[in-house]
Formats: sequence, structure tokens, C-alpha cells
Amino acid sequence: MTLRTRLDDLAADAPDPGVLDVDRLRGRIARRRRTRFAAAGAAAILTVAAVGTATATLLPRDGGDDSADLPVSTSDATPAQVRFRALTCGSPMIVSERDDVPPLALSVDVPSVVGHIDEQLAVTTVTNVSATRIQGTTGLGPTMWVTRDGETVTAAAFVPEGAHLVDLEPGESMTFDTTNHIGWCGPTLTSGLGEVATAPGSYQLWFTWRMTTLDGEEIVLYEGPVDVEVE
Amino acid sequence: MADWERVFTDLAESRGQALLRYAYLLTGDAAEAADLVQEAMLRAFGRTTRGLTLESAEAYVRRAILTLHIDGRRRSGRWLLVRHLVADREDVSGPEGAVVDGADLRSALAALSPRQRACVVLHYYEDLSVAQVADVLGCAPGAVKRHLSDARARLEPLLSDSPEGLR
Repeated sequence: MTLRTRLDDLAADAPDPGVLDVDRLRGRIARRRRTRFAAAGAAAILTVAAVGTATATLLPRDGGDDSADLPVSTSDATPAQVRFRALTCGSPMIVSERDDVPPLALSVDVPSVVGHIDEQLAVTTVTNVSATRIQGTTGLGPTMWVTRDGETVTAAAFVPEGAHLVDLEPGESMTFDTTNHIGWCGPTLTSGLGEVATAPGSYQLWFTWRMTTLDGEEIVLYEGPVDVEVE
Repeated sequence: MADWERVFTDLAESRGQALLRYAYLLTGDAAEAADLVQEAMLRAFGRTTRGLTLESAEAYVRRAILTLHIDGRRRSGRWLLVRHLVADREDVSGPEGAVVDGADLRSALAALSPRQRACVVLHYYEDLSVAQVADVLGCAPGAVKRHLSDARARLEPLLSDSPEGLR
């Protein structure tokens, strides 16, 4: 008889699932989640203050709650099993399957309908979906690429490295405004930073975010496409 | 019902038994296993995670069970306090030692260190490779091999009179 068989036999002595008080556990989880949501907001703001260069915030960008009732597209926080990259203006995004499972997940909240597309459009959340603490540094925030009708309408530009600290316990999240250090494609390849897409129509947003752990390992996350309509 | 609640309910209903068995093999105690599973689920779903699927949630809970078990034992020192009370090789060295019941295996497992026991459960019960066990435990494959070797030295006499029993 193999050890596997013996372990199977022994496991049969395990308690019945009825010992799990699911209803009571659900209530404890709900209370813990409420507490953690509040604590996570405070922690993120303190981290930003300490680093001094970060843009992470959980506060409304416009100082009010005008956008509270807007429909929002929220991407899934499970690790995306694709990677993508942009080539040149007018080319499609190159999408490929990733063969690793990152320990972090990137999710994005974007209003479904906007007046224009700019770097303040999305709120992105990075969540530690692993069982180990993740520490390291990252740049200023996730980078957004934009496509329309399958063609890239943004072009790569210099992305400065920041000194944003990352320290996430399993299950914890950090929230960023998206950083848009890319230029919009124009007659001379790019029409400059800071310009925004205002032509009405349907766009697709692609987000990437990268960090380097204390061990020097690079983690790259991808999320997209997220549909957005410019009125 | 929120997304996490749906996943939580599905996990408890469809995978509760499997999680309890896993925890039971690690702890050897029914009440402790139930506490461990509930604490692991509380830890998994109590965080600000979004987009959990049944599969990712189960993986998270399993990792939490393992971490809680090993860290808990390390902190409390309980294993060191009771180690001298459990069976050792001399208890099963007779001819009857080749055929043992579940109690003997339970005792033998209890004599292992928490990490040795985790290696045995992950490798022989969960069918993880040495490399996968190393990844789960956050240690080198060589350390896993050493733990398995030490564990086999204790368990082998209990299981059969040939090394085949450990395959």
C-alpha cells in the first residue's frame, strides 16, 4: 500500500464540511472587509506622502463626487493571461499568451462614456493575489495605450522612472491614477504629450504596469482591452 | 450577493471537504483542521481582493492553510512540546510494524516537523513535484528533498517492507 493510499485513508477521517459555520464565517469576512477597505485607503495615502513622488490616491480627482453616478467599466482583477505591446502608430496591438502567472493582478476602473481620453481617465488597482508579501519599487503608475478600430492611436514616449514603493501583503491592493506618458499619433508620428483624444467614437484602452521586486525580479502586468466611448 | 460571497459560498459547498482533508493531514486534529480552514477562508476573503474565481480562491486558501499551519506551529512551539509524546520508530519495529492502521500513520506524521509534514502532504497527497513543493513553501528544492528524505526515514518502516510503499 502506497503512502498516497494511506494518506487518502487517513484523510477520510477529516471532519465533515458541516463543521464549517459558513454563515458566521460570512459575517466575519464582511466585517473584516469593511475594516480593511478603510485601512487600505489610509495606508495608500500615507505611502504617497512618504515617497513624495507618487500619484496614488483614493480621493476623488475633482474634489467632488460628480462622477459617482457615472457608469464605470471595471476589469477583472484576476491576473490577465495575455501580454501585449504596441509597435507603431496605426499598427494593431501585438497580443500573445503569457506562460507565467504573476503574483499581482491589475484591474482598471474606467467610465464607460467620457468627453475625452487623458491620463486622468482610469483608476487602476494592483492587488497581491499571491500568498506572499510583495515588496519593491515601481514607476509612476500604469501606462495606458489606446486603440481605435484595431489600430494604435498612441505612440511610445519616454517614461520616467519614479520611486514609488510597493509593499503589499497577500490580498492587499494599491490604487493609482493612470500615468499617460505616451503621445498621440499625428502627422509627425506624435502630436505631443498632453494632448487628448476628443474625436467621438469607440476606443479600446490597454494598460501595462511594471515593478521590480527587492530581489531584482521584474513583474509586468497587463490589462485590456477596456472599451470606452468618447462622446 | 457580492462576487466574493458567491465564490465563498461555492468554495465552502464544493471544496469544503477537500480543504478539510488537506488541513486534517497537516494538523492531524479534526478541530484544529476546521479552525485552520475557517481562518484561511477568513484571511482569503477578508482582504480587499477582487475578481476571485473559485480556482484562485481555493489556491489562496490552500496556501493560507499551509502558512497558518507552519507559522502557527513555529510560534507556539507546540510541536516541540509534544514531540516526545508521539510514537517513534521503536514503536513499530516488530513484524507487525509492516501493517499499520491509520492511528500509527497519524502518530508517525505527528512526529515529523511541520515542514517535513507539509512536504509529505504536498508531495504524496497533493501530487506536487519537488519543485512545486519548493515553490509553495518558499524554499530550495534541495531543502524539500532533504525534508522528504528525513520523513521517509521515519515513515518507511510503517508502510511496507519495501521502498515501493513510498511511491
